[in-house]
Amino acid sequence: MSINLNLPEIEPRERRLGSILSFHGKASQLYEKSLGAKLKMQDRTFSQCGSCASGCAFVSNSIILDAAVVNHAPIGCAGDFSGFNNVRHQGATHRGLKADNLKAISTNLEEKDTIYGGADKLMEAIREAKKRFNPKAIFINTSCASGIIGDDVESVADELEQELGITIVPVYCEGFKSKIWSTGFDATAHGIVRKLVKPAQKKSKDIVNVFNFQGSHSFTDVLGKIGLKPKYLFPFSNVEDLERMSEAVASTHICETLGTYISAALEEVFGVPEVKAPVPYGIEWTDEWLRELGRITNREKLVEKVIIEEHERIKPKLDELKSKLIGKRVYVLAGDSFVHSIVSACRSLGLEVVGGTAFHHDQVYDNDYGEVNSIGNMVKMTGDVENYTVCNKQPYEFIHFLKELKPDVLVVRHGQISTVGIKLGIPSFQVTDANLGIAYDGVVELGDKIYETLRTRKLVENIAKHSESPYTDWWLKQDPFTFEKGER
Amino acid sequence: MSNIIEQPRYSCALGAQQTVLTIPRAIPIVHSGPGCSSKIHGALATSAGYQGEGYAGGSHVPCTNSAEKEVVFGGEKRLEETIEGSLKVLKGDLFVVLTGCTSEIVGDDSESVTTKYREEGYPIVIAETGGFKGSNYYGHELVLKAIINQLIGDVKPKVRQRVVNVFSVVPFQNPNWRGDLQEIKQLLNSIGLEVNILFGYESAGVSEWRDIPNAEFNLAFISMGRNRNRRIT
Repeated sequence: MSINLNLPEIEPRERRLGSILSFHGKASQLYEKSLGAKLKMQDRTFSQCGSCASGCAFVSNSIILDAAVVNHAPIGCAGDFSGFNNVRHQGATHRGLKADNLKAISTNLEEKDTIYGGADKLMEAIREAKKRFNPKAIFINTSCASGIIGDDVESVADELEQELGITIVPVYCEGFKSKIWSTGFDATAHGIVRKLVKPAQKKSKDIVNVFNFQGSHSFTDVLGKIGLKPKYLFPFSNVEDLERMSEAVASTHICETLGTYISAALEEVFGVPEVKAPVPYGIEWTDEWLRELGRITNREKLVEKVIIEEHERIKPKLDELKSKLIGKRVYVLAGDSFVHSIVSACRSLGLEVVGGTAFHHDQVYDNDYGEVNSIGNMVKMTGDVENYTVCNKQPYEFIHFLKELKPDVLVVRHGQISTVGIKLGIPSFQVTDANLGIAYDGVVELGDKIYETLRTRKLVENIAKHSESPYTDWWLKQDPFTFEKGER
Repeated sequence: MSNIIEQPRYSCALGAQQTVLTIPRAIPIVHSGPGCSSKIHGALATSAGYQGEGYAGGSHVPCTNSAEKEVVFGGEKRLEETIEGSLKVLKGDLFVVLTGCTSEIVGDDSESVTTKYREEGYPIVIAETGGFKGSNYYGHELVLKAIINQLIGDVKPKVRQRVVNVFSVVPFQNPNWRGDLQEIKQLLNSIGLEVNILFGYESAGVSEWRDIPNAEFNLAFISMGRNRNRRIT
C-alpha cells in the first residue's frame, strides 16, 4: 500500500482494504478466505441502521485540545456534538485534565443552501470558529449533503488558510461514500498527515505515538517500565503534538481498525516504525507487543525481565479472577479488530468464547505485515472462534445467535448494542473506555468488570421479562441470513 | 447573517424518528445515509437524559443505509426492499417511512413506493423529513400530518361527547414528556374527559390515532397551538 498525500481524499475501505459486511462461519475460515482479499462486499436486502464515516472522523478530531471542527452539514449531522461534549468532559477527568467544552460549529445547511451551495456559509463558520475558539487548526468535516451538492471545500480551505493564517484541514467523510464507517478514522488521519505533520527536526529516543480514543492513560505504566513514554493521539493532544508525530521512536495503537492507516502513513512518509505485533490485549499479546517494542528501541533484555516480573506481579489477582470466572461463556460484539482484542483478553482470563460478531472485516491492512493481522493473530495465538459473523450492527441477525448460544455475558463496544443483550436477559458489559483492557493490568481490570457484570444477572433477567421483542415470530424461525445477497 | 450553531439543542427534521417511536408499536423506516438514525438517537435519546430506545428504537430502526450506488442511480429499489423486510421482520401496527438528505437531494420518489404498500393494505405512511428542511420540531409536525392525512384520511367523524385529542410536548425533545403526558391525561380524566393522548405509555397506540376524528375537540398544550390546531382539524 502506498500513501498518496497529493490526493485530498482517501479511497474508502471497501476499495482500499477489501472490507466486507457479511460472513458467517469459523473465524479461521474468514482468515483463510481473506488471504488474497478475494471476498466480495455483499449487501443485504433488509438492514437496520448502521453508523457513518462522519461519526468516526469526529471521534478522531473533535477532542484535539487547541483545534476546532466545522461540521459542514445540516443540523442533524451535529447530533453527535452533545455526546462528544460529554465524552470530552469524561475523558478529561480520566486524564486529569481540566474539562472544557467541544470546539465545534455546525454550518446548519438548509434547503436554500442545497440549491445555491453552502460555500459562503462554510467560510463564515470557519471565520466564526477562529473568532470564538482561536484554534491553531480547523478541521472541516463534510457530510452527505455537502458532498452531493458538490461544495468545493478544498478551495474554501485554501482561501481561508491565507486569510486566517492557520492550517485548515478538510476531512472528507461523507456518510454515503463508504459503507464502512471506520473509513472516517482514516479520513481524519489522512487530513492530519497531509496538512499538519512536519518532518522531524530531531528524533526522539523514548516517545511512542499511541493512537487511541479518549480513554484512560493505561499505556503510561507499562511503557514506563521499559523507559518509554506514550504520546496519546489524537484525543487530548495539541496541534503541536500532531505536527511532531514524525519525531517518535515508534507508533502503536489500541486497535488495528483505528490505528493502522495513520501508523502506515507515518512509517512510509516519515520513517516512524509501526509496532508490528498484536495490540497489548491479553497476556500473550502484550508479551509479543513488548518484545517488538524492545526490538525497535534496543531494549530486548529489559523487556524480557519486565515480562517475567509483570507475570509474577499479576498472577495472584489473575488466578483469583480465573477461579471466579471458570466455566463462564462470553460472546463479543465490536468493530472488526476490537473483537479479536477482547477475545484475546477474555481467553487470558480463562473465559470460554462462544462467538463473536464484528461490525465489518478488513481483509487487508494499509501495510503488508502479517504480524498486524488481528484475526490471524487471534486464530493462531489464542485459538479459533467457532461462531464468527460479520454484519454492520443488524440486531435482527445477531439476536438469533444470542438466543441459540445463550452466553453468560456479552462484551460489546458500541452504545445501543448492550441494550439488545439486556433485553434478552444476558448481562452485558459495554467497553466505553477502550483503553481499559490494555496490557497486564488491563486483563485484570477487564476480568473485574466482567465479574461485576455477571452479578447483574437477576436484574437483567427481570428487565427481559418486561421487554417486548419487536421481532415477528415468523422472523425468529427463519435462517438469520435470509436477507443476505450473493453467495452464502 | 447566517445561522450556524455551536451547541445544538435540537436535531434535524429526520429527528421525527423519535416521534414515531413514542407511538406504541409504531416503527420508523428510515431512507437515508447510514449514520443518520444513530446520530439522532444519540442527540435526542442518549444525550437528552438517557431516554432509552423503547420498543424498536436504537439499533433496531430499519434503514436503507444509502450508499454511493443509491446516490448515483437512485434509491427507490433499496427503499422497496427495506419496506418489504420491515413488514416481515418487525411487529408493528404502523410503519412510518422517513426520508433523509441523500434521498431527497437525489430526488427519489419515495412517496410512490410507500403508497403502493398502503394501497395493498399495509398500515404505512410517509413523511418527507430531509434533514436540511428544518428541525425535529418541524419533522414532528410532518409526522403528525402524515399519519392523520394518510392513515386516517377522509373518514366521516362519529363524534363522541367529552372525548379530546391532546397535542402537547414534542416527545424526546422534552425529556420529561412521559411524565407530562401521563399527568395531563390523569388531570383530564379526573374532570370526566376521555383522552386520546397519542404518545407514550398512556396511549392505546394506533387505534387511538384512528379515533382522532371522533373527538369533540382538540386540546393544544403548545405555543402556536392555535395555528396547529386549525391545520389539523
